[in-house]
Amino acid sequence: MTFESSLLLSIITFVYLAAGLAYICLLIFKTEVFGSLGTVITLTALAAHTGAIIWRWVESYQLGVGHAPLSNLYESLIFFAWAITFLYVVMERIYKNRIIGAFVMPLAFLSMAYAGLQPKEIQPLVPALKSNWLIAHVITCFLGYAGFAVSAGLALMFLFPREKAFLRNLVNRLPLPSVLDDLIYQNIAFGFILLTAGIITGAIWAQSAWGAYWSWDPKETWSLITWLIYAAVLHARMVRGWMGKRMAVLSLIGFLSVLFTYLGVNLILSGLHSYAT
Amino acid sequence: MANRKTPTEQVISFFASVKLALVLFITLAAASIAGTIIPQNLSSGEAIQRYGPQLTSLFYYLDLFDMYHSWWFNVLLGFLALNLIVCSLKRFPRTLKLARSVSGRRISPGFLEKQPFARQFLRPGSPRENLAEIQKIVDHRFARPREIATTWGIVLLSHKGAFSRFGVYAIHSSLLFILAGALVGQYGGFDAFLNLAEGETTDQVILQNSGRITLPFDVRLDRFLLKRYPGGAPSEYRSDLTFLENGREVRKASVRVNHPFTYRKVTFYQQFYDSTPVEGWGLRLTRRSDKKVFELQVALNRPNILPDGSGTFLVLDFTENLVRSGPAVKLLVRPNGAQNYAVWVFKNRPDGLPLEPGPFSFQLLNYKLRYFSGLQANKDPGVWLIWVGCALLMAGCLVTFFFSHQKLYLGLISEGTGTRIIIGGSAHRNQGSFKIKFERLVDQLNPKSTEDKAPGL
Repeated sequence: MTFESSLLLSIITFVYLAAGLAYICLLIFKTEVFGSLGTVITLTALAAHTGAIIWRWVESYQLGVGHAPLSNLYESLIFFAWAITFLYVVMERIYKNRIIGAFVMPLAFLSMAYAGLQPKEIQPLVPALKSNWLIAHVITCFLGYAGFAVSAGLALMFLFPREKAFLRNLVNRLPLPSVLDDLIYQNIAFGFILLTAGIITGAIWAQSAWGAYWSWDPKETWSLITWLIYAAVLHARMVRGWMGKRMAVLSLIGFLSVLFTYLGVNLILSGLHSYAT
Repeated sequence: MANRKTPTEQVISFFASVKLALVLFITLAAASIAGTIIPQNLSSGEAIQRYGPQLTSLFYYLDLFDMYHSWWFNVLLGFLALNLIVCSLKRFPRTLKLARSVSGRRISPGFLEKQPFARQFLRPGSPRENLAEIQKIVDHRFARPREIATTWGIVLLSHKGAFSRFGVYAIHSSLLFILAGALVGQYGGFDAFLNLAEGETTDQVILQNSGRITLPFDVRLDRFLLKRYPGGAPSEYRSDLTFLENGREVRKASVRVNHPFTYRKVTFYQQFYDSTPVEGWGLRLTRRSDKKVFELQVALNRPNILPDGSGTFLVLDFTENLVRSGPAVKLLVRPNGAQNYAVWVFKNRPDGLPLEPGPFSFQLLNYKLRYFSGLQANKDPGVWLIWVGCALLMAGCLVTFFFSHQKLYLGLISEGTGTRIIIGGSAHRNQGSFKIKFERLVDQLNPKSTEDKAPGL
């Protein structure tokens, strides 16, 4: 077997697992070494991941079908994991808290592992996907999804049972609830802006490809459902002042809708986006 | 009770409420979920087969098979529009006031200390001596301050980002633009398609819902081009069109997937293509027993006699790319006195399939296809409203989430030989990022903290 980008990406999957485990060890054993280890592993994996995506892009040109590696489920899951890790690294830089990694990095691993189960061949693009809007549409959508994924990881952290006796010694390591609450909100706001941008770029593209900016295709409809849910969440917070536990629960509900928009629609419903499976 | 609301006020506060907005978001989301579960635009036959006659008539009554265009979905959207308008109108005057209200009246040292972010410290020198430097720092780090003299000292007022209070109005009006655009498109435009064979001319387009309309011009398909990847899958297709006015050629244009062309406000999009074989198929038959070769011209859907009269065969099907191996025809061979069998015959495999049964092996030699181009023809005079709405929506979101209205109050009070500085600050959103900015400013103004943070730390 020749060494290809997909093999490198399979290896990176396990590096992400290692990163998540290092952060979980930090949470349990409270030894700073694990935190530094987690950061080093994560940064290395992110660099290799970025390289592998570029490499896959180059490979597609070598096969004569050149296109950005954002065209099927495998490639989108790879980019989703990249976006989650990228957001996490930015957060770790700003907030100097590595415990968050124990809740976020496993999501990147899961996305990579699920990608590993998908067909990995580089396929030629169907004519409908040959558009510069492909890159803008996919990148905005998936950065948005990643924001929502990170907010869901943080929400789990917020709902961590702090009162349970056997967990109490883990708790003093967790960020303060007020900090988590702020982070959940910020990631939702980030996700909302990018989902909005994703829906708009999708509409512009649909107008140029199919002559209709909106067709009530199941994927479109579900992205609107997700948008409406997060719009409700943001109003509940910004106008009615919902915070804390309620926001954490809403963030998880929102993320379920994201997951259905991303994966459920392709598995269960069919429509214009069916080439994305 | 004195504060009981009049009916008008009740209606206004109902339509202005966030509660209504939340209920509408959730209802619209739930309805949309239903619309992805119940297949839209089913034929009545399919519907009855799926749901039975009673449920089907109920679904028809509620327009559930075309629910995004149903009266009740439009009513929900109408409520959303009213909600957006009334709540924005009701809140706007207060926002305007808040955006302007950085006045010097009623400001006391206590008011400064009570701000969400407040710090105080001493600086050497009198307030007057400190003023110029502090003004410069605040101007540089934050925004140009306004000076007010009070009985107890000098006050500097500074605020920025007041525009961010208006982001929400950009978002609300953007949604109104989008709803208006959709309405204009629904009633002022059409959504149609046309299938043209090479050489054909028409002015008729078929509406997606039903019926047809006559365009004020003719369109002709001069040529259809199909490009393939090396594997055989289509990589691009293109229709070369000519537009005619009263039979006179006016304009030529090419339409590709993702590259539409607009003529007299009707936009033509390449959607799909199809081909039908014309004339017959050139086949080469090789008799396995003595390798004798026969070449035949055969027709679609008509039995052909095998060259040695040992049976007949039919062309059942044709595809331009079977299992990535190029063009192939499906034959049904009926040998006399033996079992019928079907076989796919390729153009790119001269030897035939190794496992092919029967006394002959087949090869497809040539064929001629006539292409049909499937084009969409749409007219939507509301699209520009949609794009204006989208731009406003993005701008509104960026302003709302990344900016906040931040205020800074500085009191300079004479104390002994020095000056007591009281700083109070507030932000109507994003307190986290304001806190960082506020503390940096305090660090720069407070001589003590610069001493603490000696070089090297």
